[in-house]
Amino acid sequence: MEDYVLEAKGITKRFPLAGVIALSNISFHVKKGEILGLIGENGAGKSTLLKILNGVYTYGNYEGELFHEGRPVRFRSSHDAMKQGLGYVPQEINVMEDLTVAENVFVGHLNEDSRKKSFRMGELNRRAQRFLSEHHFALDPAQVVNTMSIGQKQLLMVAKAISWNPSILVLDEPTTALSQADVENLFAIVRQLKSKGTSVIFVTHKLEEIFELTDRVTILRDGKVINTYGRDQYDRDRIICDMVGREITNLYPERHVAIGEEILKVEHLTVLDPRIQNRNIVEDVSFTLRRGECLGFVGLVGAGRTETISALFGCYRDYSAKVAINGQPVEIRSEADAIAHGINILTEDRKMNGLLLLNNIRFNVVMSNLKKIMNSNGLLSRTKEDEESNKYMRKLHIKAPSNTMMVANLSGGNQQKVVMAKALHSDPRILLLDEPTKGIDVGSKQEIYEIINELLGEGISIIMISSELPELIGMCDRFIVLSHGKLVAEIDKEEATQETLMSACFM
Amino acid sequence: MTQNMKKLLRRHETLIFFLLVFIWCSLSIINRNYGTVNNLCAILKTMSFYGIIAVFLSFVIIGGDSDISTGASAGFSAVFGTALMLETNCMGMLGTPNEWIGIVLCILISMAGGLLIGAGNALMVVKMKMPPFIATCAMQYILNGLKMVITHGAYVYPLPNSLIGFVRQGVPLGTAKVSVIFFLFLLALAAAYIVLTFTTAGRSVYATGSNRIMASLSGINTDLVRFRNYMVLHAVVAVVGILNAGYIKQGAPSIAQEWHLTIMAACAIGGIKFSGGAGNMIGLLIGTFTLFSINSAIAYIGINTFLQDVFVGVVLVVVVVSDSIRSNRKVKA
Repeated sequence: MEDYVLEAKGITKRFPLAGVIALSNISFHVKKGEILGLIGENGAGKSTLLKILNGVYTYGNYEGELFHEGRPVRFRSSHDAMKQGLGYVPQEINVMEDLTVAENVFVGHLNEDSRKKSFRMGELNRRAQRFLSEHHFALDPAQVVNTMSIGQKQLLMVAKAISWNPSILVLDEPTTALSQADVENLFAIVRQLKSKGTSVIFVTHKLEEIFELTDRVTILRDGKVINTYGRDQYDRDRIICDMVGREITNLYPERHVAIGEEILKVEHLTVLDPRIQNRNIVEDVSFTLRRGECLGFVGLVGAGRTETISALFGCYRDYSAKVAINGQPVEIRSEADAIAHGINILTEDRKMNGLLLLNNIRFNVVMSNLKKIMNSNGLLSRTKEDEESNKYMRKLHIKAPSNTMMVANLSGGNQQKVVMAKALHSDPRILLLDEPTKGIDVGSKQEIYEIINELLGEGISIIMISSELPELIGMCDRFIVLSHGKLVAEIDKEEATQETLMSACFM
Repeated sequence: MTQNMKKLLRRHETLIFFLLVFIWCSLSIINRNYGTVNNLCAILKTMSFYGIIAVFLSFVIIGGDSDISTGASAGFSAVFGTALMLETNCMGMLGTPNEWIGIVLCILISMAGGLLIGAGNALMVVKMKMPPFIATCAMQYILNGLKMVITHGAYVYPLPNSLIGFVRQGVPLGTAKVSVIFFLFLLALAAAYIVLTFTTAGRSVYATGSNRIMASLSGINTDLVRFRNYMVLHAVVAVVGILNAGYIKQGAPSIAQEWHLTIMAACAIGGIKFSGGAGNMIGLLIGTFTLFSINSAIAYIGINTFLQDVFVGVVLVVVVVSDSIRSNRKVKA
């Protein structure tokens, strides 16, 4: 009992206004020097739980008790939680770009002696150097952060949290933006922390990381603790089953769609870098797309996949290409041109540029083609707006009490369906999907796959980008591999495996 | 039914409507001259000059931009338009039965000038990506300066009688008359309401203000929307400036100098969201009326009239804060 560094008893968190119970009666504990995995689908309540651990939801906003080293604790703020020994590394990269590594690490306690008000840069750098090498961070204290890679920034955030000497470190999906080498680097640092007696809570939805790193795993689903397994009880199928709550036998539904004639032909697509002179972010890419076909774009982050489809959608002014739709050459100079030619897009970041979050479903859905809800007198018709939005709510199974529900209040999966409905409202023949299942739970993913199949069956052609190779392999008929803005390989479905696609990325 | 009632009670417009009713009831008890037709008509007339501009400034604000050069622009056009009438003798039609045609021509030329001013603002904000406050602040200086260059600080008068006659007419109501300017304000509100609610142009303004990237990905030319907002605003501002000169019977260089702050306050109290993407004309009407009712009230309470501005400032803070508290709560849920 005493060697529990952190124990949570009966944590319940309600959002009365939304009528949601995000966490119900959660109890778990972390032992000293242990790495506890916390796994669950999106919407399982991981983020809410972390916000309680981290003092974002202060004591009184939830029910239940937290115990730190046997004593009950009540955090008044994130800063309070940090000072009491709870380090937290949020999922999003959040650093001060224009300051140095040393300043970022020690911000909030720039002086070892908190009574002193001034500090010297040289002293700070030396202290940072000592600290970083002690914990084996390969970072230069004097480097300005905006010149660093995402992986380095992620490590910097971990370093910043460790600098407060926490007894528990909470890492929220730290590997989302990291390359394989950076991931291994991070894992080494975590293991080393463990050997020094620090406990770690590692939140993820990647099973591989649980198997590789953690000593125990607690599975959350629908705001409840479903099970906790020790390392010797790890079993892939059982954990998946606990996470999902049902057995997913066929994640990628079968489809029987006859692929038709060539609908889109893109030749010599080149996009100039908007910021750096004499550099191309996409260079001489040519491909074709057929009716009812799903074409997968494979590549690492920064390979030019998003840029290629954005150029096709008219988002760039500085690009050159020969584009033909149904054999007719077309000129796409703006997003409006693209929509008029029957192309529409689902962007990667739905909250940033896919949705008007504070508007309702109806308003969002009809946005991509307002002419369609116009009366003959040229005014917009509320009736038609309702009809159209309700049609898509039924077709895409958007779960909401009515079409006047604010989009911000929908779950990730339903938000993505609203973005999808918005794209479909413009009657596209070619649909560009950029990470269509990013950040949504497995159940919703499967629904999105079914929708994609239905659309292909209706004769719509799809270009799909995804960082999850199994998803691409499960859904696409053909693959194009991009690397550094150039097309490096075209691979058929029969030859496509995770290995062939990945090795093509590094060609 | 109760559900709808709750929704209605939670609306911003309802809140300021109650504030308005409270002001009128309490002030009428304190001073019986406040709740009279005379005072009502005076308030309606004064607020309408500002209100018409506020209607079109709302487009700019809902579209995600802002503009503090409206006062300077109105002042410039007042002087420019009236000087034009004087110099050309209303296009040579002064004193003839066709005098009003000359006046309209002069107003149209001033509106073209307004379009240019708006385009200048939009060029700086949209194309050169200057922050709207800085860009329109610069425009404010330029226009104030040009105005002085035109007039050398002198008043422009006498103005054509048909202009003065038009602005000063009204529909009799009891012992007073409801100014024609108020009807122009109502007309502007109605037109703006229809455009914002029932047309693609209005929908595009909301979309551009709430999320510019999403709007352009939906095929909306957001640059065009923002240019249009600024240009229409300043074309209308030009008309209001000239009408105001007509009302005070001279093109005074001091016309409308401080208006921009009052107009922005009217928009803010009326629930036009300064971060863009939200606001409506019903709120703007009630908000403008409330603001000018408060302005007028101070004189009737008999306290230091300098306190008027302090009071307006406090009301502005209270109304906007209560609105943002309520909308923040909505997002969390």
